[in-house]
This record gives sequence, C-alpha cells and structure tokens, in this order.
Amino acid sequence: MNSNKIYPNSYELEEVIANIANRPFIDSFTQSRGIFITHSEKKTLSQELSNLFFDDYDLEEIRKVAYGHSIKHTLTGFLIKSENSEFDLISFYENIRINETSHRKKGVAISQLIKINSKPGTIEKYKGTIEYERRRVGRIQFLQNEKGSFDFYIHKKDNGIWQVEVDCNKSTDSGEIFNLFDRNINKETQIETIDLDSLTTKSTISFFDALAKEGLGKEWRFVDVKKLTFKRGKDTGKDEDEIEETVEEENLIGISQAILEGKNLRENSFVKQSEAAGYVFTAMTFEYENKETPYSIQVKAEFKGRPKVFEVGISSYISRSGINEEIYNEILTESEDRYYRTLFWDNAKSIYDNFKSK
Amino acid sequence: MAEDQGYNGDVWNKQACMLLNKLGWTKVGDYDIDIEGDDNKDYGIDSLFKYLDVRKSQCEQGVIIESKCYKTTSFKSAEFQKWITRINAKVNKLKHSESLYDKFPEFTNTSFNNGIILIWFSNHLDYSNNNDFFRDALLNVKLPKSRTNAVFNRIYVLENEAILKLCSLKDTIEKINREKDLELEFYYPTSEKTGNPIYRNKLLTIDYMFSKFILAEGKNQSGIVYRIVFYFGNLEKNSFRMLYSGLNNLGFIDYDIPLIVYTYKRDSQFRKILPDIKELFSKNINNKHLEVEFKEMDVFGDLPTFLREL
Repeated sequence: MNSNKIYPNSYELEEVIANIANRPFIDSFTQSRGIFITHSEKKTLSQELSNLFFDDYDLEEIRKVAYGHSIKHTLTGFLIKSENSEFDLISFYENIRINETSHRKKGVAISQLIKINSKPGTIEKYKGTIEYERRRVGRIQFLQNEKGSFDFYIHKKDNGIWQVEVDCNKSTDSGEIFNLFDRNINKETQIETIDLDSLTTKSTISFFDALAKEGLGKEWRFVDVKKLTFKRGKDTGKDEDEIEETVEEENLIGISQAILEGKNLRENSFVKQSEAAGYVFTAMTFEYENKETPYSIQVKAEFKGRPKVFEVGISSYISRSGINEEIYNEILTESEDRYYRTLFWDNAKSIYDNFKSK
Repeated sequence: MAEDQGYNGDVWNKQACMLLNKLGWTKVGDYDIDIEGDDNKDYGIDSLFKYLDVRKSQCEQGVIIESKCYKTTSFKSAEFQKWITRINAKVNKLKHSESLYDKFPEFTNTSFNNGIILIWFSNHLDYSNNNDFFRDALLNVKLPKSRTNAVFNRIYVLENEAILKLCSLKDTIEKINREKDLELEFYYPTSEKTGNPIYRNKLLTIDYMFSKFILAEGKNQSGIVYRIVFYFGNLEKNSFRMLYSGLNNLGFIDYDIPLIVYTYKRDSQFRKILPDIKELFSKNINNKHLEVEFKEMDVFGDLPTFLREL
C-alpha cells in the first residue's frame, strides 16, 4: 500500500496538530468545519480535532501544513554564469535529467523543460517541475514520507548567463534545484545567489533601504514598511545562536518616514541602535501603491533558510473604491503573482550586486 | 424581518429537535424557554438537550440549541458573528446558573459547555448552488482569545448540507434495520488516549456528526453480525486507501464479519474504480478474504418527510 496512506491514530493527530501545525491554520481548519472552541489553546483544539475521523483530503491538508508547505508561494532564484559564452543551460539541464542517476536515488524526479508561450519581443522562458520525496525520521508515522513538488523557470540573461527562478512552496525547495546544478557544473561555471552572508550589517540595511524605493520599479510608489524582522547573533546553523525579533509598529513609522523622505535609513535612530547592538535585518514587508490605478500591494522580502537566501512573496493585493476609499481584497492570478515576485527579485539582484561585500 | 420567524422558525426548531431525538439525544424541557443566568438576567433558549459522550469523556453533555431558519438573501456574516457570541454568552451564563439546575435537575451531573446552532436555509436549492458566503462567514468569526486555565466552550454549527447528511444517515440506518432485520448501533472503537473500551450505542455523538466516516454494527436474529461504514469522503482510490488504513487501525476490519460501506457522495467515475477498491478491501490473507459490499446512501434534496410529520 502507498506509504502515504497510513491513517494516523488519534495520538499522532493530536501531536501533529498541537506541535507542528500553526494556529491560523488550526483555526481555519476547525471553523470551516463549523466547530468553534472558545478560549482554547492549541492543545485544546488539537485534542478536540483528534477525536474526529477524517478523510484523505482532510489529512493531506494537515500533513501539508505540518511539512511547512505554504499556500502562498515565494520566489527565489540564482544566476548560472559560465566563462563559455556558448553555455546553454537548457541542454545542460536535459543532459542531467537523462544521464544523472543520483537525483533518482534520492527520490527526486525532474521533468522535461517546456517552452512557455511568450509574446513576440519578450524573452524565451522554460518551465520545469521537480518532485521529491523525503523520508523523515520520527515517531509519527503519519509524517514520515513527505512528497513535495515545485515549478522553476529558466531564461537566458546574456551570453553564458542564465537565470533560474524557483516558485517555492516551501523555502527548502530552491535547494533541490540548486544542488542539482551545483553538483554537475564544471570549474568555468559558477552559481550566484542573493544570500545574507555576502552582505555586511551596514550593506544589509542599505540593501533593504534601496529595495523599498526600487523593488517594484517605476510604476509603483513606496508607501509603508508593514513589518521588519531582525536577527541577532551569528548564523552558526544552530537555532539557539539566533534570536529573531519583530519591530514594534511605533518604530516602523519612523523607518517608513525615513525612506519616504529619501534619508539614509542608517541615520534613523532606531536603526542606529539596532545596528550597534548587533542586529541584522532579515525580512521586511513593504507596501506600494500603483501610481496610476487604485491598487496597493504588499511584498515580503526575506532572507530565509540556511544559508539565508533571499526570497520574495506577495502578502496582499488590494483595491480602493468609492468616496470612502473602501478596501477590497483582490486576487492576483498565478502568473500575475509570479510576475511581481520575479520583478522584485530581478531588481533585488541588481541592488545586491551593488552592495555585495561593500 | 430577516429570519423566517414566527411559524417557520417554530416549525424548524421542532424539526431540528426531532432530528437530534432520532439520533439518540434526549430533549430536556419545553421549546422556547427563558432561563435565568448566573447574572440574574433571563436568557431565551430555543431548546435544551443532553447526550452521553461515549467515546471522549464518557460524561453526559448539556447542550443549548439555537435553531435558525433563514433565506440565503437575508443572511449577513456580521449577524452570524453575533449568533456565535450570543450562544457562547448563554452557555457561560447558564453553566453556573442555579435556576438551570433547579428547573432541570437532569443537567446536574452534565458537562454544560456546549452549544449548537442548526441553521436551515429555506431556499435550499440556492444554498446548495452557492454556499461560499457561509464558508466565509464561518472563517470570519472572531472568538474570545485563549486564557490560561480558562474553561472552554464548544460551539458547533450545522447547516443544510450537514443536516441533510444526518438525515441520510438516519434514513439509511432504518433501511438497513428493515432489510437485515437487526438493530444497528453506532460503534465507538477503543481509544488509545482515553483507554476506553469499545462501546456500542444507538446514540450519535457530536464528534461523529463532524466526522467523515461513522462506524456501526448490528446482529440479526440468526446471530449474524454486520459491520457498517457510513462514508462521507471523496470517492477516489487514494481516499479509499486511507479509509481502509483507518478502519484497519481502529480494528474494524475483521475477516469473519461482513462489511458494508455506504457512500454518500456521488461521482460518475466511481463505478469504474469500484473493482479496484473491492480488491483493496477484500485482499486474500491466509486463504481468507473480507466479505465487503459497497452501497449508496440516498441523498435528500430537501428535509425528508420523517422530519415533516409534526
């Protein structure tokens, strides 16, 4: 029988829901079924839910959240640069797909590339999909075989330079395709990512400062910083060596104001104090408004994972309408969502190249 | 007035109570009563019930019932939030009310922290065509935040689809009892968390009402035992693989006891995969194979007649 079709016992369900799934998910999972437990902690909710009998779809929903799969996609990427100007990543990939065996041994299936229909005059893009299965060690059988998949896009930037964009369901997805290329490239080829380790504390602040102004290009105007996360301590690979903190709203107002006034963000008193105390920016959520239409978008830019690699996600997309400027949540199509994430990542890469190791 | 109040509201309250009665719950007191809360204020109650929570706590549960009869066009998400807040307040104010236990000593030893809203959209066809608005309303409810050591209340909401599902369940049980000449009981498997043994009872617990499959068992006059699964999930191969795994883990698969799986959903592709699913369930182990049948439950397009006979 398919190992993923093992029905969890109520103890396993309770453990997974209480300790692995997040609270917003548990609330929506419970409420959408017509169940409301007041004054409840996660433990109470998980106890209540574990007494129900679920079907395959319900359990898959729980499992995906427990694996860390997000409903919102993020985009990350890297450039592959070769000294050989004739280097063709499409053929290179195809060669790996057919001849490499190590990815298959690891339970990774890589698809053929498909050329995406593009308008005349636009760049040619190719789309591929990677599926993986990861065996987890643990007492909870329900979570042992994780199956995941994600799409990625390849296009040529210049002679010998190719860009790979990864449409991640979870942050570790990009590592799957990165490793696939990394273990097959030769000495004349290198891979460039946007990673936090290549930036100093000072240039990280300048990087986010520039992102606020230029991240979405000329059609969008920066309005606000909605969230800012700091990290303190060295990235030693151990969680206990890192402390992440979210900045309070009152300090965000000052930061937004500094950016809006075109001041150097490092001159802001709060940022100065944070820098002196050894804090490093790791994530910012920016709000932009369109210069010609009544739409606003929130973009989350974040260094995530180990090593901390840059990724972009769309947090919200809204429109304002009527005399009172009432706010409506809008839904971006999959391709529009990816378009804005790609645009932001491209601009971030240019900014990053300017600040790298400065 | 938004709610189909007056006669329609009263009729639906009685129908909702009849449904719970048929599922083994005990009605306590009259319809539409006022009970004084622990704050000395009167609270209007549509009806009160109690049932034995056989699997989870093995404790009798006291439940406040609110019956709502609405048209989809009159329903407001903000109003729904108020219903949840109000029924939660009623549970809070009545659970320590002397007046409740004086009037209804049946609740003295119950765990009185439950409320159920049964909402029936009288234009059922419109509701079944588009009920996204109701799902949004469920998701948008804001609950009081958790407090350490706070006693929680359980509020449940049953709407048209859930109500008709329960009607189908009741209807199918009666048909099985007639056909097989037995008295089917719900089967509550042993729970590794509580350590409670297997329990059989004609009463349907709230947990079963919100489950995707329900187990039952019955013995006919000749002593033949039947095990029944009422399955409300999707009709795909993977769904049945998961169901089989679940039944097996619960110890419900027994090669000496015939199994009948009643499916609720409809899927035109189901007939095509049925042979594979039968094979999955009846695989031969040590020259024995499970005797398994797959049947459909009748699905109601409106409240069934057995709830209309008031």
